[in-house]
Amino acid sequence: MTERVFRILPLVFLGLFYFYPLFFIFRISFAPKGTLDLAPFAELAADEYYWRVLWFSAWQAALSTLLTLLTALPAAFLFARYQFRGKTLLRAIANVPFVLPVLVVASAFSALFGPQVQGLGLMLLAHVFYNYTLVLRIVGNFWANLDPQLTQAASVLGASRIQAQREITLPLLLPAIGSAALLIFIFCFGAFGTVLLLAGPRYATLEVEIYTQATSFLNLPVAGALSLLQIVASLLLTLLYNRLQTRTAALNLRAAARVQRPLHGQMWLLWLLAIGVIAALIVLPLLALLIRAVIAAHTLGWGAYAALFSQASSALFGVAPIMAVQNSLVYGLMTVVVALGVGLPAAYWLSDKSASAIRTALLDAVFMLPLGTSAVTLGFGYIVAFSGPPLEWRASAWLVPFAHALLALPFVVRTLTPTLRSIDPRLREAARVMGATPAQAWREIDWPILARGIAVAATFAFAISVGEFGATLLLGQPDYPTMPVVIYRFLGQPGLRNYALALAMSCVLMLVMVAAFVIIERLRITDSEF
Amino acid sequence: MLQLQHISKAYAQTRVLQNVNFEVAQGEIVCLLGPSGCGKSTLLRIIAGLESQDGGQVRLNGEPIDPVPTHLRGFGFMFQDFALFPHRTVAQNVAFGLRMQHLSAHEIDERVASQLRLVGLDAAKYGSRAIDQLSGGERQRVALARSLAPQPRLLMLDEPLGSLDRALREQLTDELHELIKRLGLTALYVTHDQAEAFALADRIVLMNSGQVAQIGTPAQLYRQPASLFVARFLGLNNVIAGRVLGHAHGFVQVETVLGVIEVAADFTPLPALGAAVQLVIRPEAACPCDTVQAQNVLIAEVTQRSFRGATQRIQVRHASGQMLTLDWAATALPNPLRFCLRPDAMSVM
Repeated sequence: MTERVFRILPLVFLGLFYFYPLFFIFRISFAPKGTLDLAPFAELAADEYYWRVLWFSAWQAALSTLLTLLTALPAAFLFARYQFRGKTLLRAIANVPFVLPVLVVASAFSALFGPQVQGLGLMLLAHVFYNYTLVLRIVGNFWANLDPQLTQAASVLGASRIQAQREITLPLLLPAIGSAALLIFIFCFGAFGTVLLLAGPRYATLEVEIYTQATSFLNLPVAGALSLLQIVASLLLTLLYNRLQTRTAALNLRAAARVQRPLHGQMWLLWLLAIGVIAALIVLPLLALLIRAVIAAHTLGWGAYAALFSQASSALFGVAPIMAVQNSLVYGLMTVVVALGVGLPAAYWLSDKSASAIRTALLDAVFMLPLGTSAVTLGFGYIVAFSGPPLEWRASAWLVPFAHALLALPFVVRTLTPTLRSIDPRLREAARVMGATPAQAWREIDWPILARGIAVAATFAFAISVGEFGATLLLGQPDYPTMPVVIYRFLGQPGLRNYALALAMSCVLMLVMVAAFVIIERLRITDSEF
Repeated sequence: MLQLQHISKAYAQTRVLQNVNFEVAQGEIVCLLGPSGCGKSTLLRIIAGLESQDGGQVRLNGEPIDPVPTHLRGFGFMFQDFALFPHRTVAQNVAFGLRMQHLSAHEIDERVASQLRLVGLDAAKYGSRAIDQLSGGERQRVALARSLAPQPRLLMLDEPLGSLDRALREQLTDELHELIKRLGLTALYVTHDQAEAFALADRIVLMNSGQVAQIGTPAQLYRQPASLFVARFLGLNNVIAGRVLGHAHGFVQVETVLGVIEVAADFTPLPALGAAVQLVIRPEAACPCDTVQAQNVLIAEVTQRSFRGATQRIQVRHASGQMLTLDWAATALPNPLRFCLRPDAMSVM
């Protein structure tokens, strides 16, 4: 009985915080006035502007993907096949952007290029910055596991080096490259913060358009219809990604003994290239952020930062900006509790080896749904779903961490499930045979193995919550601003003073995230997907 | 045909190969035998051009082939785990080397079919299968067909049966031997399994920590191990220190803790009188004493016995305390046991 409750919990959570808002989005776009009315869609289809938005979402995502692959593939090869000094550090640095909130990235790039600089190039750069590590992880890990004997076999059979790469390595890597590309495309297609902050007002993705329609024009039916478009698009992409992922996993016949050679000859050029890219792309903007914050303080006097602690300093919020740090931390902890409370049962369910493969695959797809769902769409869904009866939760401060927990769920599940699957059920059986109660067996067998996984998952959830921007912006109550929201407001105000405050807050946020990241890296056991 | 001259190789301070010399004649099967980590696989990879040696030369018919890149050497190589291309079908795997030779599609199809038939697979049935649909034994056959298809000058096999279970391994060893001989191939076969090496090899190169320990036919190695290492590796554990007392009537007399033992002098050079030697008593040396020519008579206590089918493996303790492990073929096994040691089942080194 308790087990059933335990299992139902994740579905109830998804039902309330994913499907219920989804239903409201459907309702508001298909029946804005209560009866079926396709006017919002007709409006979308008729207006060339929306087509341009859709087209822009797609091509900027494609271009971002292509640029990321071009930049990161040589490094993936280097990391997969060679051993060199500083490799761990370099890999760690390359991983940093993955946890950095978009507001920090925006501040960092503006610190590097100047506060007024905006444009498409900057946004593309940010997308490469974000997704570089995905290629390194997905393609690089796959490549490292690729049996080097395969190319050697080709070589013995008469294939030259280039032929062997073309005939053997490339086709074998293709699913991994495809999977990385698709994931990058999904992330970039749902870009919101980078477009809003870096590309500038001339550009709008679907996400930005949903936000604008919902908040500036209060055109909820059109926002709903756009949200549906976004949901369908990302759903299809996620499905495709999952299929590719399964194929990638199937092809990776075994993790062969990793053969990594020391660098030699021209490979030093590749090494130089990788270091150069990582330094210029990742280290430089983050350094610029720190330096600019110090320079600004030098110009204005450190006293200027006292404004962060003063309620009067800003008409933007009802509270002192520094309270945002506390809000973010509290939200982050709440998110951890909720995401683990839901994600752990879900992971147990998915790792149940006695369950039918079809059911597990289906459940896996369901729990992965939030990965393809954008934060803005989600926030919009909550606005339309929870603003009136029967569930009038719109004004509750806890709605934000629940939204964050939903966004964190796929990461939590994908971190915990492989760990749980790795626990040989015979270990538990052995413990039971030797007289352990189920609870004791769990404590003695599951817990020691699971603890690190839980810590990593918790840190992921925390990092996602603290850095989340889109949903928080849409849902956020003025009395409870989070760090990203405060930075966004400061960046939107003229004057060096506001700019300096944005930079300072960005530095704080960056430090929190880097700390979280260090914890994740320290505790990471398997080469999990994220 | 193939000559290895003074090959040496080191990885980061560890010497993997030290001054390895041997030759392989046309049509000969040579087994590189040795414990894991003895450098035998590295040697094979050097011959294939997959790695380069630090010193020495590999010559083919007198010509050094070290500057020739792997793909132009025209050798066949069967990898330990077969290294079949997982994204290609069986037929595409076998066709790979032929495509590299730019044969016509028609020719490739014919050769693929005939190669698969050669290893006992039906091309019509197996050709279009994916690699992960094959059993271990089928994979082995496909890998063999693939390495044979381009008609290599030299076939190299790196523990090709290592990942298979024992019964299958024995069956495939015989098949492999028959096939290589039928095709008249020159082959270099790496294994750590002496039974496999004995079954396959015309000659064995036994290696120990990067050096050649002994070269010879399987019978030579077994009957006349050159060192303690060779004896131990071949499972000959009855090695007893002794001193040569004399040679007479085709026997060498060796003084040991067991008394004076006579060993058949069917080897050269005979050890000098008074020389300190090691006596190797092979398990099959033990036999009931016939009354006609009672030689090397010993009495010992039987401490252990285990049934081995045609024989019993017994362990006996001689009055001197010396333990011996022996195969006993007779049904009766009295204890204490009086038995003789056949002079032709022993050697000195």
